[in-house]
Amino acid sequence: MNTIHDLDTSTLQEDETVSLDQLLAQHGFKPELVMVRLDGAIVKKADLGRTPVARGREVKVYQLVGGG
Amino acid sequence: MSGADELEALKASFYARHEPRLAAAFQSAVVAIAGAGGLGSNVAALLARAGVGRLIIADFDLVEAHNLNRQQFFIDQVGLPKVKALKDNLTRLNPLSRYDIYQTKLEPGNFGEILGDAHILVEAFDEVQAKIELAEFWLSSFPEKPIIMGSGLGGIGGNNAVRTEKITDRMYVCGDGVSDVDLYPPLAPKVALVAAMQANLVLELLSGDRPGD
Repeated sequence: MNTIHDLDTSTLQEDETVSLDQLLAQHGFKPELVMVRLDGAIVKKADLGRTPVARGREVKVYQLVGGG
Repeated sequence: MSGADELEALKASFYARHEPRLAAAFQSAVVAIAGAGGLGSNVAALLARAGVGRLIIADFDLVEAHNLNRQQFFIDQVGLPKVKALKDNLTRLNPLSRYDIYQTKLEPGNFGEILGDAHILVEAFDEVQAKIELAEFWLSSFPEKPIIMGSGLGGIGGNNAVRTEKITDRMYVCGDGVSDVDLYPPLAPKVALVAAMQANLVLELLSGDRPGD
């Protein structure tokens, strides 16, 4: 299942943070089509822009597809 | 034999093949199914057969002939609200359980009111954004209750690609994750395969056994 993507935060500088929505954009993901797990917890779409991510944090992106 | 005696006899017969502890666990369970289409109708039928005591099912849609290639309806039900047709079908195969149906569009404003009684939620929406919206609501409003989602059930073949992924302690996704129905029109076998995974996981969670990852 290639729906889970690990976003690499190791390239961030030691004192650098980016917001989750910026990180998603950098990797080509559309926030409305994915769910984001930060250090084990799902982050709501409304909070992506105000959730900072620093180097070393675990960010997983889950892409969903339509149908049900 | 009185009506009550007949009912007890039917119940005993229906659950005769269940392990007693599972029969008790399933009978006392409440499972909500968001959507009564391909996934939802199949999940509902499987859980009704398994003897889950109460199902909550919501969908706004009507049965159409092109649904019949994968959804648990019959030709003489075309035109009926899906939830009403489904309740009739479920009652025929298991009259012992309770089926609470809502012919309505599920939205954030009514998620809690309609689905909140459930111990477990099965997501069976079509649109990705609706799936995400529901998951976010459920995980924040009922963090102790599992949600089992569906993603990737279109087309044919690819049996081995269909799996269950544990996303968090309370969130699972069943499907192959890639076969969007807009690109791969859905057909009964694969839809039922994913629905069966969802339903089987529901039973596993209800049993109290720790699901395998």
